[in-house]
Amino acid sequence: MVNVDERFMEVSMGPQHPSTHGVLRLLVRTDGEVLTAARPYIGYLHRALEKIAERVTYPQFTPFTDRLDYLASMNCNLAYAMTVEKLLNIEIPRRAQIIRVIMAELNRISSHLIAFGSFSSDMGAFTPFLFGIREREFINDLFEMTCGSRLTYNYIRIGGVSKDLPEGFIDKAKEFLDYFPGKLKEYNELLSYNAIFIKRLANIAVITPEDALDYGVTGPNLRASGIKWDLRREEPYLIYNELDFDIPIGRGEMGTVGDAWDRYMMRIYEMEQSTKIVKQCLDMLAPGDYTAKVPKVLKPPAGEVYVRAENPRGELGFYLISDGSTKPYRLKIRAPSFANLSILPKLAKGVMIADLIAIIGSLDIILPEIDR
Amino acid sequence: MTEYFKKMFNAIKSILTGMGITIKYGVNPKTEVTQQYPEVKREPPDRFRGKLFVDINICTGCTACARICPVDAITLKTVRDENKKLRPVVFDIDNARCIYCGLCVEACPVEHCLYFEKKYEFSAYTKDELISHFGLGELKPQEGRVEEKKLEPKKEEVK
Amino acid sequence: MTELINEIITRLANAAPIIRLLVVIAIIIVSSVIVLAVALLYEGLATYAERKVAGDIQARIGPNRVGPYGLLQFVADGVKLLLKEDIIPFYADKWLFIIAPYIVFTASFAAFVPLSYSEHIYIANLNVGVLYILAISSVVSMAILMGAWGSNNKWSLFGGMRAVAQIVSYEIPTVLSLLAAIIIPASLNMRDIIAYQSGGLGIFRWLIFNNPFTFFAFFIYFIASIAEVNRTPFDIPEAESEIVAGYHTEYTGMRFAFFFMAEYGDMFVVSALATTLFLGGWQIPFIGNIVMPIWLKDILEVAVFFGKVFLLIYIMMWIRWTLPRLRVDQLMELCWKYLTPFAFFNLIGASVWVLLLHGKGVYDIITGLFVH
Repeated sequence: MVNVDERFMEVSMGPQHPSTHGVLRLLVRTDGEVLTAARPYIGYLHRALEKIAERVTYPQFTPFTDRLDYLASMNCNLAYAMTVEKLLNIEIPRRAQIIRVIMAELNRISSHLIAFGSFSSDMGAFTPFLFGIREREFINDLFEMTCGSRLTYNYIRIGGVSKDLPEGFIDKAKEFLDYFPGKLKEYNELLSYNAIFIKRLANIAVITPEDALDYGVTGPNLRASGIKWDLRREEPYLIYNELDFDIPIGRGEMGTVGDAWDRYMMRIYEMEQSTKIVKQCLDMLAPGDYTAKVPKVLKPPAGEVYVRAENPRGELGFYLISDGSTKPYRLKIRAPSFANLSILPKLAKGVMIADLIAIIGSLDIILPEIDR
Repeated sequence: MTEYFKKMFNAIKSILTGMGITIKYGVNPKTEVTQQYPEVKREPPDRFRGKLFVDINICTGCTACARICPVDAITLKTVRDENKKLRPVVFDIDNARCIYCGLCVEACPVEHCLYFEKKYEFSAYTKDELISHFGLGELKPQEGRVEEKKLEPKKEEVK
Repeated sequence: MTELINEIITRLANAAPIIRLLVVIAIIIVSSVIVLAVALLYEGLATYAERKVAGDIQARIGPNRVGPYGLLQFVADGVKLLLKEDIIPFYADKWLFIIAPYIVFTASFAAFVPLSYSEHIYIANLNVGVLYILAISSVVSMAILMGAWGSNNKWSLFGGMRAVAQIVSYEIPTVLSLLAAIIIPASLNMRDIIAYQSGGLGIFRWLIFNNPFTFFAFFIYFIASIAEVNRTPFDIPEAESEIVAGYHTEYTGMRFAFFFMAEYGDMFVVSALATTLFLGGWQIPFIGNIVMPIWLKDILEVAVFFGKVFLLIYIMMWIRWTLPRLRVDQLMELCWKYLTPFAFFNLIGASVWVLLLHGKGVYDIITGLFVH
């Protein structure tokens, strides 16, 4: 963007913008209303988490993983805990595994509710955001009852979970799960099948399956392009191989396969599937230990390991090199939103500015993950 | 031509369905979920992670909490008193640095010594007011403080 | 009000010409101040009503702290806006920047003049009332472009260009659908149109029930007028999540308030025009020929008029909080491919009806059948 071409207008959708889901700067070159290029600039939220990991011990790093993707905090905790457990070869008791699955799936619902809400408010319909927040309050109450916090939970630890489920959790969770599918139906009637919404999103920013695989797009974005790939089925961790749930894929109901509407609808379908999973897990709960016996001072053997988990936004991977001491030698975090954002310049050629907002919203990126 | 009319008809039908949903919320005052905050405060649950509190009388000065804190929010200085027991002279918790993760509460070996209170309203005007001083040797009056006990240290052994 | 002024002037026929001139000027100033006060009070309460309606629809309470039920919220907002720092961008075109909000507000306020609120309460009895309102409302688009250009901000320029395109295009379905109703009383005088709709139990002679073509014309007019006023789903010019407030990005304090108030004033004028032409103006439904003192009848008529206008404004607010935003080209497509052809054929059908049935409506035909 060094040559100043007078036909084009270069605008900076700067770090402060109501719709870029965080501090993302997009340098956008437009010809009238139509874009010719969009280049993202990131790094405004860099907190050197990977360097901090070399300074603190393994159990001490768990609260930092909360802040990687603060909307899906349980899932990030889970991926990190699984990484260290693989290195240490710890066996997790069954009750702990079921509780982990319940928490991860509830957090998936609440993360998708925010994605749904903020996407709809980007499109100009401000009401579904508040409905999503209202639903999320129930989930937050459940989490607060269990671990004491409403956003950064620090609950899933190395070896299990930090505390057992409190009394009344199962009843309250079942109450929420009975109430929630009615609300999903309401969202579909209000927004998903609304003619204006469909018109805004159908056939916009189609990610072909080849492109998705080339750029490393994962999560609902990949499944919306028609590729049936979900880590909970392909490399089952915890007890996912015992559970009965579908993997929804994009079918191009309102336009082409892999357009923005498909990506949006994936999240609605996944919320339905997550309620199914949590219902099954609540019935499978049996008394037992909620954590394995983990030594107070963790010294994993020297080695390296890469573990990935299915986050609401994609595939979160932790690559850990340990040199036998109490602190990691190197911890590399593979953030899903980073790869999802990399496809943005390709999708943004030839769309209008209003569509650019739709693309960013449908990719569902979150900046703390990208910048770490 | 029929496509044109079908599109229009579908559009009108979906818009009217959507409007039907919002008007149900619009005319029914029972759907409001707002809690009027200062008048109605919800009771936090038992495990709520609010402000930290230390019962300094039973603290053994083992510094497990200060060592496990990921952000170094706890400052601890101990001396040996006449019974050869470690007593904390300086025990400062910086509430601004604290990330309320709860690792220190779990690390503390003494029952009910370091725990979370159910407080969440403790804003202050300066950063110094946010530091809670629980140590036995401090002279600043703080909430949750016990009466000061002047210790006569035999040996100045500051950990 | 013209009669009042005429009376005063005839009483003063003996006084010196200079006294007559001063009295006339005084009357003009006093009546303008009264109308301005009422208009500003309405606009303040309209902002309060918008927030309350938004709160109701979004499952929350709107403002309820300032004053009883939050009614004084608009006073607090006004004071806050007056006390804000008045920033004029350095490279902005000062004259255009400063004058634009004044022109927008003047145009919107000047359209209040031909409206008649009851049989004896009106400001001016213009012979071309409808034409005057349509003409003055078009000045708004010019002033918006002045504000957008004078801001020296690329985002504002986007907003201004979109606004002008939108307002100018949607004038056509507006006028065409209004014409379908005007040809029946065959007069542009607002009071004559309302007088035409009297009788028939106060409800069945409304022009909307006159023939099926005026029925459709009402809906076409309503949709086109929402686009005229720049409300969601047509609020591209000020789309806050896309181009950060569009043409009024650079305006602070009271200048911003002028744009805002002009939007609510426009809403009132457009709804009042719809009420006058289609819904019978101040005709009280189901009242028959009950004898009552004139002042009571006037008050009832004013109440009925405002009731109908506020109902239409409530519907506009309801639509705003439900529907997402249309993209610029889809907005243009809606206007030119859907609304304009429909309005055109509607007008042809209405003209044929008037030609064949000599302006008789459905109600007239039905009563005509029973009388003979």
